[in-house]
Amino acid sequence: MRNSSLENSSLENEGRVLMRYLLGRAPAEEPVRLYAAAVARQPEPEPLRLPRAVMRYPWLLRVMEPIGKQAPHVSSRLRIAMILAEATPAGRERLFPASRGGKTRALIGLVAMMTTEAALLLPRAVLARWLARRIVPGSPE
Amino acid sequence: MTNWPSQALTCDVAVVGAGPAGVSACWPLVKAGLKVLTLDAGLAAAPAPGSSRTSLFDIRMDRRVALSVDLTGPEGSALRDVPGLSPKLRTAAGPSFTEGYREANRIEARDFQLVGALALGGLSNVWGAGVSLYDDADLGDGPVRASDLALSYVRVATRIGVSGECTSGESPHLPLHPPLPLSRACQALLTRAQARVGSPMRLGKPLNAVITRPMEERQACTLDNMCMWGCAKRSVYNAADELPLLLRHDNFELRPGFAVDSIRPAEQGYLLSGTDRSTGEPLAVEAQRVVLAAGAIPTTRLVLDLLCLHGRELPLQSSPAVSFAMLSPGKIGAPLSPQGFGLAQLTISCDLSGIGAPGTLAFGSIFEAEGVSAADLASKLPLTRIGAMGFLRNLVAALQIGLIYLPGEYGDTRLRLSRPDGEGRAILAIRGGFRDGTAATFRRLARLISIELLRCGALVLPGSTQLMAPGAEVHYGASLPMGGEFVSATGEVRGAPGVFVADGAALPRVAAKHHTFTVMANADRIGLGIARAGTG
Repeated sequence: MRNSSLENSSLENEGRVLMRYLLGRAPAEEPVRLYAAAVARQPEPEPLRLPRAVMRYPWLLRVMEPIGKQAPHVSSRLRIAMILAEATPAGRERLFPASRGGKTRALIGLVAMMTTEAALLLPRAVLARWLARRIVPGSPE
Repeated sequence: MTNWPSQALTCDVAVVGAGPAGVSACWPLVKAGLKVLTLDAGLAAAPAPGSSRTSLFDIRMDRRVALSVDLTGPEGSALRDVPGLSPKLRTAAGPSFTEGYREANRIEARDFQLVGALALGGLSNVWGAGVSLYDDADLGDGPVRASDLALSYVRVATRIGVSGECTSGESPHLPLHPPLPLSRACQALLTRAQARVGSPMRLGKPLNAVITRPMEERQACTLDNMCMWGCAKRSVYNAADELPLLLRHDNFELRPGFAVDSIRPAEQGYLLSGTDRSTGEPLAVEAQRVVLAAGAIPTTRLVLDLLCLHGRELPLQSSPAVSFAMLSPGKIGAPLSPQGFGLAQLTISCDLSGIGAPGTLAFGSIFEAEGVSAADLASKLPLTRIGAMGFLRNLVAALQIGLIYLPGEYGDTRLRLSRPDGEGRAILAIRGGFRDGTAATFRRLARLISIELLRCGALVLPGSTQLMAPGAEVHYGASLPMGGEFVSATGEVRGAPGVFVADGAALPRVAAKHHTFTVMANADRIGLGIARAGTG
């Protein structure tokens, strides 16, 4: 028999980590609660077995985010977390800032982002495969 | 042996399905004075958003609301995991909208994303509202020609409200509401595309089933850009909004929650048996004539069962579709638009004759990314979520999403009715797939579009092209084509006089163009035919 309150608490922790990764700061409690409720309604609601390092430093997820269909579980949870992040003031500020720097600043930001993403491709290809095996519910640790 | 309920409802015409096709077939029958009973498995329409909801721009700029429930969808439905489907199926309708559809219609799907709605209005509750008119080439070699549909196209457009601009070559001449304004990026793209001569790719202004003048209880579009989260003003057409208008007529009756299981010949027509979805009780209706408009797949099941064609395999034309993201560099760094229309901004069509597919026309729509949730956009970009957030922060106003279809012949989907245990209720099995070479055709199409759009000043983002799973595009039909083995040109089922097929199953062909408006026009045409025969 599953311990549902323990599982719910684990899902809330998972939601906190994923939203902190997306927002760059701790999320409010309401989206965390909604995250756990949304995952609990999924066909496979078991908490992801996130590595301890990622729990402590959520930004590490960036170097191990799945590419393409590498780990659909992780992508699905990140999508849920991002919808909730977008619905919060912090997420909206991050995605749609009130003041913009114009075209030049946008282009500089774009070049920096693309450079980082290109540099991350190789570690993601390796680490995401490891992460997928490690954290997907039901897979051997 | 089946025990029918002792007291069956009776009517002149039973219409199965209260979606766009069913409602379109009802109108001419009701106007002719026939006693019409519409049966639908849905208990109610999908709930519409509150009319006090603000615009997407205001929601995104508001930093006071702790959690905007407008963005998480009704009952948190946007948080559901339904990969591969249109985001609107999650954001605009609650979880109960699609749940139970397979069971209620006794359908098993393999390699096919079955999408259906147990709600009054059917899938029009989440319709993308794209309106296209089929020409003779789109209709194929069947007995129904574009001229046969002309009157009904006008009748349906008048009834539901279609906005857009008349083009010089358009036939018939539709009564249109004033067009929705184009975004600046799409206007610039259109201007450049129209200046190019001899290109296999054409961009155009779309016709949309969206009203820009008030009609009855529906309000004109206010450009709040929230189309993907459902229309609070009911400007986007939904067949459920027509049911109260039909109910004003004494000879029209609606029976929600009636899931039709089977149709059998009876003394004075046909007996439709089914189940009350609220109570589980058996129900029956006796009707002189039956119009099937339950959706292409459920209708096919009912017809195969009626004709006792168990074990017979039928092809279902299903249009493969591909989505892509593109960038208009002129809009990089531009602020969000305070107003906008969240559905199709432009149509895109591509003649594939030059890339090894003579006579093939691919067709689709271009949307502004601003009207889509950031999470759904991020899932289409080949970036980390953090990278995608940075990308969208700088470029969302410059980003467009394209969705393009091939004709239904490129699909390889089969339907087969069987009784798994040899008796009892029959089940329709669907096996989805693509015709050999479809992926290669899409690769060539993607390359062609990338080149042509680049010449128009837009950059298709590398890695953003995604082929949708069979069925996920909800662009299928022609399983019982008019003029074919099972259905005549009037929509009547051969071997079952008085039973008509009026939904997408009866289309002679599924072209790449949006087919819902043609399905509605054909249903109106079939309804007119029955009305003439029934009252003449």
